[in-house]
Amino acid sequence: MFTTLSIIGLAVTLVGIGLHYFMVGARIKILAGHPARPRVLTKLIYLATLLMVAFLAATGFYAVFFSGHPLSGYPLMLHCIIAPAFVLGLAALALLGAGRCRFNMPPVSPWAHKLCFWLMLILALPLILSIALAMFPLYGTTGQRFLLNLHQYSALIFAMLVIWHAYLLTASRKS
Amino acid sequence: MYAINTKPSGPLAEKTLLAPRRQAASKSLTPSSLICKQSIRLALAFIVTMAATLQANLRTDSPAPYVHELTLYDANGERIDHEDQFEAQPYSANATCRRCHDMAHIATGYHFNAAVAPSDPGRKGEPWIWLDADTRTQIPLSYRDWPGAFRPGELGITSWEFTRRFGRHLPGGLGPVDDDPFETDDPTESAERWHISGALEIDCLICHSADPTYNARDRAGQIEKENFKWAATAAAGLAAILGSTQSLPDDFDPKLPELSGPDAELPITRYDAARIESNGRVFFDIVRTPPDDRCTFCHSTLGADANLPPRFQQDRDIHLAAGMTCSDCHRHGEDHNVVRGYQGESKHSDNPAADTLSCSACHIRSPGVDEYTGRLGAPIAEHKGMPPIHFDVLSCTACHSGPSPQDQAVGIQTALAHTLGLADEHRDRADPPAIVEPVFVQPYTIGEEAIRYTVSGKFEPHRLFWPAYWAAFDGGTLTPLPIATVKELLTDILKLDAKEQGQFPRDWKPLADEQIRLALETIQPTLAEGQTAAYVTGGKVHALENDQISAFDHNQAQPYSWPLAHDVRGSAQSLGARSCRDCHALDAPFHFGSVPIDTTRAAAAGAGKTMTDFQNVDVEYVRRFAESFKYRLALKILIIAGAMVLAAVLFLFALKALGLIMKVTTRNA
Repeated sequence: MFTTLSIIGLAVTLVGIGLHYFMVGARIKILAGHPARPRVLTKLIYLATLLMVAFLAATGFYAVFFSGHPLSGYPLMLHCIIAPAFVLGLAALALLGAGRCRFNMPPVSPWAHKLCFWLMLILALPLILSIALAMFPLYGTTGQRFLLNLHQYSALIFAMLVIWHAYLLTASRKS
Repeated sequence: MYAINTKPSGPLAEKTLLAPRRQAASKSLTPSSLICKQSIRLALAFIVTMAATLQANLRTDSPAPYVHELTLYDANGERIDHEDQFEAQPYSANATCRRCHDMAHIATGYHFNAAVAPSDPGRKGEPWIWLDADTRTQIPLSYRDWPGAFRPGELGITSWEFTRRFGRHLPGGLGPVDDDPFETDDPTESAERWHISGALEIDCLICHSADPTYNARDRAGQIEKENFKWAATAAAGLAAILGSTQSLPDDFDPKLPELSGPDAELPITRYDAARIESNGRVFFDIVRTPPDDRCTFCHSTLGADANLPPRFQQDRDIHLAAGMTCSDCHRHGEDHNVVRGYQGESKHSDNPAADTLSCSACHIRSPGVDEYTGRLGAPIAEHKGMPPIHFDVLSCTACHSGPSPQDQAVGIQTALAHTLGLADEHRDRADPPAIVEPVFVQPYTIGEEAIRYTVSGKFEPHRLFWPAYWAAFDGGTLTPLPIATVKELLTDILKLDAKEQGQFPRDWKPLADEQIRLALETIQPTLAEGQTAAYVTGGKVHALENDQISAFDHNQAQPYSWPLAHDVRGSAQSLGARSCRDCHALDAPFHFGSVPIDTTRAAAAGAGKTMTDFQNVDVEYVRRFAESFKYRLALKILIIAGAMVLAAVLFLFALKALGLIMKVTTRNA
């Protein structure tokens, strides 16, 4: 079920991005305005976090798409090593970028970009807490399976949002 | 292959003619008196047969115990004359019990059906270990086709010899039917002694007697004397058995004993008059559910490690401590096809309760499959904090069964291998065979060959021992040599000197390389062309190469292991109950505990393996993963801190957004 939904979700995201670029991409250039350039530090943190997301998604979805087994072995170990760094990077981005992404501020970036940003932060909470809580003796097997499913599905939606956010960021830069 | 000793239920039909009996010297008999006696006996037999017909298949259908006051019958189906001090026969459980119970059906049960082909061997279990100190042989035997175990016939061991050696802890069912001479086409079988010793019938009382005077040790003693037919009578305390069949020659004919000499006679059975009631019947204190003590005579263990605390300081199985009995889980119907209780048993057993009496059936609540969850008060396992992947790779027993894993697998003795339950002044914790537990085994297959075998396909705790035997190696396959041949060839070479005897447990002195070399040289001329003499010990094959001993690995030299399930520890004592580092640590016994190698080669003594040698894992990965758990706390702190920052940002800006909304709505208002 999750494999099927993952394929559909990621496919829809990529198709949507393609359609958006060809149909709406020119308008972004007009509406983009004059975005204040983010600081270098923010860019670096964003880039690093993006790479970590890509790695986490690769290791996580590899188990889903290719191995057919739950994540284990070296991919699991690396996934667990990168995960805290990702969390810290995302927290830093939240602190540095939240002000720029307020909806009541002039549109330094498109509304969709801001929406993606806030949705990512909201989704990051179940994504992170599902695994964090699973590491404590709080939930039995049924709860553990629920938390794992929560982690999987929130990771899927989070990945879709990251792809959109990265696209929108790139599109606004081109303008 | 030996036959199951049963007769079909129902009226006696096979033998109504009496065998000629040896007459007491003081009696003088005329042909007419002989005919008269025979007629009376025939009439009595007919009456008994009719009575048996009326009695057959009596049922009460009540859980209340049925008082068994029984007439005793011998193996020929004839009523026993208890008062006859010379000619009385031992009682036959088969002949006595079958008047109400379908003994043929019972004989198909798991305790009795080992040699009945094609019975499904089911999960690999504890083998019988043939031990011979003179030749330093310890080899696993089983009539079931378990990987790694040899059928007794492969080593030239007849079913009679097997019975004599292991009947002490067997419930019976061995030997010919109807006391006829044993007939078989199996060239490894021999009918030599069955007609003398009698068959070792299924002894119902070995499980179903609630009489505390039932003495399995007396039974074992009679078996040791080769009085198989008399064993059940002695154990039940019904009679004193005088004499032994051991001294009788192979050609002794019970029907014509005088041909073997004046002193040649079968054992005499003297019934205890106090056990015989006034109506000639005997009371048996029989229960439907065997008391646990009956089970533990054959199914018990003893820690053999010097560092283990004494038995009184060790806790019992948690189920027993909670008030359950062995039979609460290990159930069966009249077919005696007992539930063994392992996952997936229903694939190997016809017992409809097989899958409902496993660990998970009682303790795990699974959606749609929880009809029996919590039965008999079983606590529901929650496994809080345990990632579900553990249940894909670990059996329940891996965390919950056996002794708490130590740095090294500990020595264990078993009833079957070490004759626990039989009094022996020479007992020693170091007695061979050296069995260790727990060894955490993961299945491993090369092609179709199961090198390590687990039924569940998961990590299981096993008991393990290292076979030692002499064999012929043809470059690919090891074929164990017949025990008798090896004894004949090697006893003089390998036996202990008089001054060495008593210095080693059971005279089990390790072999020097020179002895092994000499033994291999002695065996070699007796082998066929293309075969090389070899000695398997300590997990390696030893053969001569340029007059030197060369040791190499071979799949058939692997140790023999079988899953353990008892004693089950309480949940607070299971692996993982304290922390993940019970298993995921560099000093955790689960992966990094040591397993001593028991070898009879003195030069290789002290060697050992690691648990990972019995697991299909990447050792380097396991080490690194275990090491990463040192940072688990830091991991938790970091991700929770990050999540808190995210939550704080969201909360703060949510409040700001709320404030803005309120300002806008207020302004509009």
